[in-house]
Amino acid sequence: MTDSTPSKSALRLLVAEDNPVNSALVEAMLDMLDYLDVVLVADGNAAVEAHKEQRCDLILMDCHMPDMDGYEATRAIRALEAGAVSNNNLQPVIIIAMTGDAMHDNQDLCLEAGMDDFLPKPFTIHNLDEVLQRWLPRQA
Amino acid sequence: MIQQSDDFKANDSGIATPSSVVDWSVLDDLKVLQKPGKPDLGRNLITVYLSSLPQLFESAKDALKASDGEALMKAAHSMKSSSLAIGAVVFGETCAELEQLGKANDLENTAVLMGRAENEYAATCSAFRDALGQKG
Repeated sequence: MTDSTPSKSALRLLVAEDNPVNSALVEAMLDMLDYLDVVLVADGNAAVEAHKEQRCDLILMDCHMPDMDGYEATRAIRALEAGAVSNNNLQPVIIIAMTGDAMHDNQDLCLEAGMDDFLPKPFTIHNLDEVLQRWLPRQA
Repeated sequence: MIQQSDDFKANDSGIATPSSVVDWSVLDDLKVLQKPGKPDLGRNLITVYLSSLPQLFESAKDALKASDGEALMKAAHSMKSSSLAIGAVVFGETCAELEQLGKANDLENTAVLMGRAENEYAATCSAFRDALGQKG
């Protein structure tokens, strides 16, 4: 990391995952990786609201959640960003899909919805670290 | 710490028992995520699993009664995901089969599979409660 890169503890990560076991596992992985500012939500609506209120640096978004799924939540967040002037300059947030379906058409759906990357489930702490390293230095 | 039961092994009788339904090495592998001074992650995951499974299992049974393939698929998918994540491999694989039947809306022959799932579910919960030192 360079001096201009914010420390991990300065980054706010949002995890949108409805499965409580998976959510607890991701939280433990992020804790082990020293990401200390982590917000957990269990559906897409809560993800959109949490990001509006707390301005996260990166969102780990489960694709399949009740009420509002990850695709719809991503589209809602991108729409908010597109109307940024009226939304206090909400900057584009990095959104990583956590998908249990590694098929290409699913990955296409993620990108079409406005997600930046995807992390196939099940994933290890090393897989998670790799994708975070790939995207978070851009926050500098 | 979690009290480890017998090592995971295939059950020759084909009947799910607490000692045969959990692959404890999965939880062992998760010890790399345990930070010193933090609550025991394995116990936490098991507790979360035991508290979330009953509602999901009821949802799966309700979906079957209502012949709702999509609802069965969703409930089974969630149970599969949780189960495989913490080593409840036998029940997790059955949930994967239920998920596929739900996805195909092929609900006519799910009664036998659901019976097996019920047996494995009970054995899995019993194994995890034993590991936590709970009666159950």
